[in-house]
Formats: sequence, C-alpha cells, structure tokens
Amino acid sequence: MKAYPIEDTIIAYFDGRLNDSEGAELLHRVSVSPEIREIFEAHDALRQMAVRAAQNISISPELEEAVFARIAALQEEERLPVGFWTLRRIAVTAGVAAILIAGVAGSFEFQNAGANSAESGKIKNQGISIQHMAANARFETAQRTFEPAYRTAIEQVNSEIPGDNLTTTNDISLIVGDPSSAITMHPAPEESEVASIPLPSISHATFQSLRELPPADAESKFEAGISSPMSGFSFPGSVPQQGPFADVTIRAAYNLDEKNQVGLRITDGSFAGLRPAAGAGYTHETMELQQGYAGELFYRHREPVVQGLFFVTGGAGGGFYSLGTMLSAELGIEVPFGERLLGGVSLIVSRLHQNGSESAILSSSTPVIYDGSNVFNSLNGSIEYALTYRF
Amino acid sequence: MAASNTRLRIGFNAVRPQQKEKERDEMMKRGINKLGLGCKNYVLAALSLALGFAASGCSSIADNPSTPAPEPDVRNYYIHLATTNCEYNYTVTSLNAPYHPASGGLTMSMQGNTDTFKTMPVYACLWSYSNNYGTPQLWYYALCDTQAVALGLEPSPDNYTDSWVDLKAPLQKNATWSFISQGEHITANVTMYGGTAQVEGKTYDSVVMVQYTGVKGTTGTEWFARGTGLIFSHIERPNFGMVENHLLSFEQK
Repeated sequence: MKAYPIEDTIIAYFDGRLNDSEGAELLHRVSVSPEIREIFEAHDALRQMAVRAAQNISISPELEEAVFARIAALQEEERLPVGFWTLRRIAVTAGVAAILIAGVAGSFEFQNAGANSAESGKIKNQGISIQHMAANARFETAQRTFEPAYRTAIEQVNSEIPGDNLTTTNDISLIVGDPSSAITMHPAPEESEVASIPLPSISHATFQSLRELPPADAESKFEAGISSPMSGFSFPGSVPQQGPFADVTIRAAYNLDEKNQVGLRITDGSFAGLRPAAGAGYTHETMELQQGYAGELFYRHREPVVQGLFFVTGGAGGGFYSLGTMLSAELGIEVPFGERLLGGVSLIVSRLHQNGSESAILSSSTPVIYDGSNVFNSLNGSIEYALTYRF
Repeated sequence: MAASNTRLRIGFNAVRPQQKEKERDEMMKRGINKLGLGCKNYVLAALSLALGFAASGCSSIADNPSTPAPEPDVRNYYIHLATTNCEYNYTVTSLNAPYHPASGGLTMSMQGNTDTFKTMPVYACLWSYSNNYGTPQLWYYALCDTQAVALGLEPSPDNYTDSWVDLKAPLQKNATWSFISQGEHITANVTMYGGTAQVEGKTYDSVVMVQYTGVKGTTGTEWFARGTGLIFSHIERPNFGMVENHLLSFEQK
C-alpha cells in the first residue's frame, strides 16, 4: 500500500490542479508502476461513473406532465367567471367585492406567473435551474425523484469498488425533505484529502434572480381593462345623474413604452340628452338618460410612485357617443395586484356636446321649454373603478 | 489496495446555519408575496376604495351645481302689478271660452294697488282685447311675497269671481300647493325651476314651470320668467274652455 500523497496527486490530476510538469511526472509514474496505475484507473472509473450517474438523472415524462397539468389548473383558477363583468348593474357591494376578488385573483396570477416561468427551467448535467420560487414548490415531487437516483449512483460506486471506501457527508433524505436546505449551486469545495464530484442539484431562485427576470412591464405591450362608475356629478345640474355601475367601459390599449399608452375605449351605458315631449300647446325638451354607446381614442400616462408600489395616472381622450361628441380627461391612481393585474380609481371628466343646437330648438314656432341652459354642452364627472390586465 | 483509503465526498453541500436562516426568511417573504397582495397593497387597495366612497359622498354636494336657490319672494316671478302703466302684450287663443276671443291680442295695463284681500294687497289690471272684442275690464290680483292669486273680476265690492293661486313661496322644483277655484280642488306642482324657454321667438332664462291639475278635470301649465312674469299660459277647464296666452312684449308706458 502506498502512502496517500500519490493518491492525492492523482485526485489533484483529475481535478486539474496539477501543472504540466507535475502531470507529466504523474503519468510517467502511472506508466511504470502497476500499483499506481491501478489507483489511477480506479479514480478514473469512479469519475466516469459519477458523471454517468449525473447524466442519467432525468424527469420522467409522467412527472413532467403532472407538473404542467397542475400549472394549467392554476391558470384556470386564476380566470374570473366569464359572466362576471357582463352583469351591468351590479350593486355597490358587488363592486367592492370585485376589487377584493381581483386582489385574490391577482395573487393567483402572481403565483402562476412563477409557475409559468418553470417552463423555461432547464435541466442540465450540472444543475436544474427553475427560475421562480413558486415553481420550486411544484418541484418537490421532482426532488423526491432525484433522491433514488443519487442513492443508485452511490450504490453503483460501492458495488464496483468493494470496501467501505465511499461515504456521504449529508443525509439526502433530510436534504430532500427540507427545501430550504436543498440549495446548492456549486461543486463541493475542494479539499486536499478528498475527491469532489460535482452533482446535479436543484437551485432555488433568489430575490436577485427574480429581479433579473425581465419585468412584466417591459413585455406588456398590450393591456385590457374594464371600468364602471361609482359616483358622478354633472354640470349643468339639470343633467340626470347616473347610478353606480350604470356604465361599463371596456378599454384596450397599446403601451408605447412603460409609461405611455394609446388606446380605444368603448362604453355601454346611458347618456343624458334632450328628448322632445309634446305638451299642451308647447314642446317640452326634457333631459333624459338615453341608452347608448361611446367610442373614444385616448392617451394615458402612468407614472410609478414609490418604486412602482402604485401608479398615478393621467390622460385625455376624445371621440363620439350616440348623441354627439365628447372629450375626456382623467386623473387617478392604480395599484398593482400582481405582475399583470392592476386595480384603480380614477376621476374622469367628460365634456359632452349633443348634436343639434339651442338655436334650432328656439326657432320652433311653438313655445319650447327645457331644463337648464346650454343643454347641448354638459360636463360630466365620475369616479370610476377599473381593473386592468397587461399582456 | 489504494482504493481502500480513498474517500470521496458525494452529496450536497452543507448549508451554513446563518445562510439557512437567511434563506428561510426569504422563503417567508416569498410566501407573503405569493399571496399577491402584500400588506402595503392591502393598505393601498383600502385607500383606493375609501377614496371612491369619499368621492361618492361628496358627489351629493357637487350634484346639481347650477340649480338656483329656492325663491322666497314670488313677486320676482310675477307680472309687475305694482308698477303702474306697465303693459304686457299677449297673443290669445281660446276655445269654448266665454270671456275670451278665439284669437287675437290682449293688453294688460297695470293699475296699481286698489284694495286688500285677506291681508294681501290687491292690484288691478286692465285687460283690453284687440279686434274690439268686448270692452276693457279690470281684473284683480292679490300679491305678496308668499303668493300670487288671480282673483278674477269684481262684480261687487270685495267680491271676486275666482281665487286661482298662480305661485306660492318658496319656489323650487317639485314644490306643490293646493287651492280651491270655482269650487274645484286644484293642485299646483313646480315641474321645472331654473329652466329656459322660448316664447314667440324670445328666450327667457330662470323660468318656473307650474302645472295645475284639478279634481274636476282642469289641467293647465303656466311659465313664469324671473324679472318678467307670466310668459306662457295654457289652461283648460271643463266649464270655461281652453285659453292660451303667449307673451309678446312688456314695457313701461
């Protein structure tokens, strides 16, 4: 039996820690000494077995299918019922509940965003990279699969090299059972008296790696939203007031950049407008709420506050409604519920100009009376709640 | 055999305790973030809702910003009875009305205060129809700040033929009052306050529209413009036919 130094030298050789002259000297000794050659070949065999063991670790198709099926199921959970927003005249309490539900939905969305990113997780010889914390939880099953693979590798080494010569420094079952301890990114540290074999490992994402992920904002070129008024006011006062959630506005926008967007919003609701009613010897032009539609092109700016904790929004738009033309301006705040879902409250002020003119009414041959003055131009304001999804 | 002394380390790197604790803390943070709504977001969401509700509460203040204040003095909306020689010119259209021409013009000339009726000053107004219809007659009105009452003719001293309450304070939208006229219970309702009207090509702002309904079938509408007085009247009564007046002009002679 030779002393340890030659074995240490062989280990150092396989670790690549010998320089050219030391390597040449070792190979010379291997070529001339059968005993040293035996040790050298034993280490070479161990190396190759360990590498093969690492290469043979893979996730079975069934497991992979199960993981992605779970991801798909979570995505389904995220989606709100289709009819949720088609109920136009929901009560105020339902609106409040909607905001809270949106928050919960946002949490699922946030969670699933991580699960989705698991698709890009790469299983390689030297490590499995799963780039989102939520996905790690899903891969606990995968960890349990890896455990027998490691045990198999150890058993292979022990069976091919008899003797109590292989030890493990960690209890794998403990490591697998405790996700927080199963974090390893590097090969075992080099120690002069031991050989180190890099093994496959599961790497958990850190906050740093999450930050390195491309932000959703950068990728979200489009967004869609829905909003409804909570309350409003009008000028002149003769314009009838709308009830809460009387209108539903659907908005689609294209993000010019992270802060600016242009888009189209379509409103289905009621608009105040003059409607003639025949009286005894006169015409009464009454201001009534009339069912109609509005279409507006708008520009919107979204300014992040407190590092994106919430946004201050402002914008302007213009377009047509069923009775005339309109110009709008808005100011509000938006709170991100997740990576892609935002909830917000905005004050929207719209100037509505109804087609027609007072002079046309006043030129009537019969007496005419109408409520208020300058009824063709009204100013409406409303507080609106909105939900926005970016994609 | 040299391999008997070979020691290989196979396994995962041991995690240092401090690092482990740190990573566990991060896992907890992630667990909170996994909910999607951190505490800060809950606060912001609550503030957003509060802002909306607060704004909705304020909307009752902002509501109807242009609605004029109630009018406590009906004289501001009534014909200028106290201004002697002030003249109002109306068109007249009637149907089955015994004291009115089928069509024509009516000039009302203010004669000033002549009497009192239930503590209210009574003013006389001389009605003259065009086309030589009938003879000019004095019609009487009781007027104070709280109400304006058309008393009709005075066939005998202090005996008037009618008691039609044109206006009653305070004037505001949906204000109502009742009175008895010709034995019929009439209810008046202010259906518009602060409106705009066009009569005979002229536009009037701050218009009050009063609708009258009687239990025996009387219906009618009168419009009063602030600073002017009666600008439109259409009254139908079962026994007195229909009479409609449009203000053409009023002037001080």
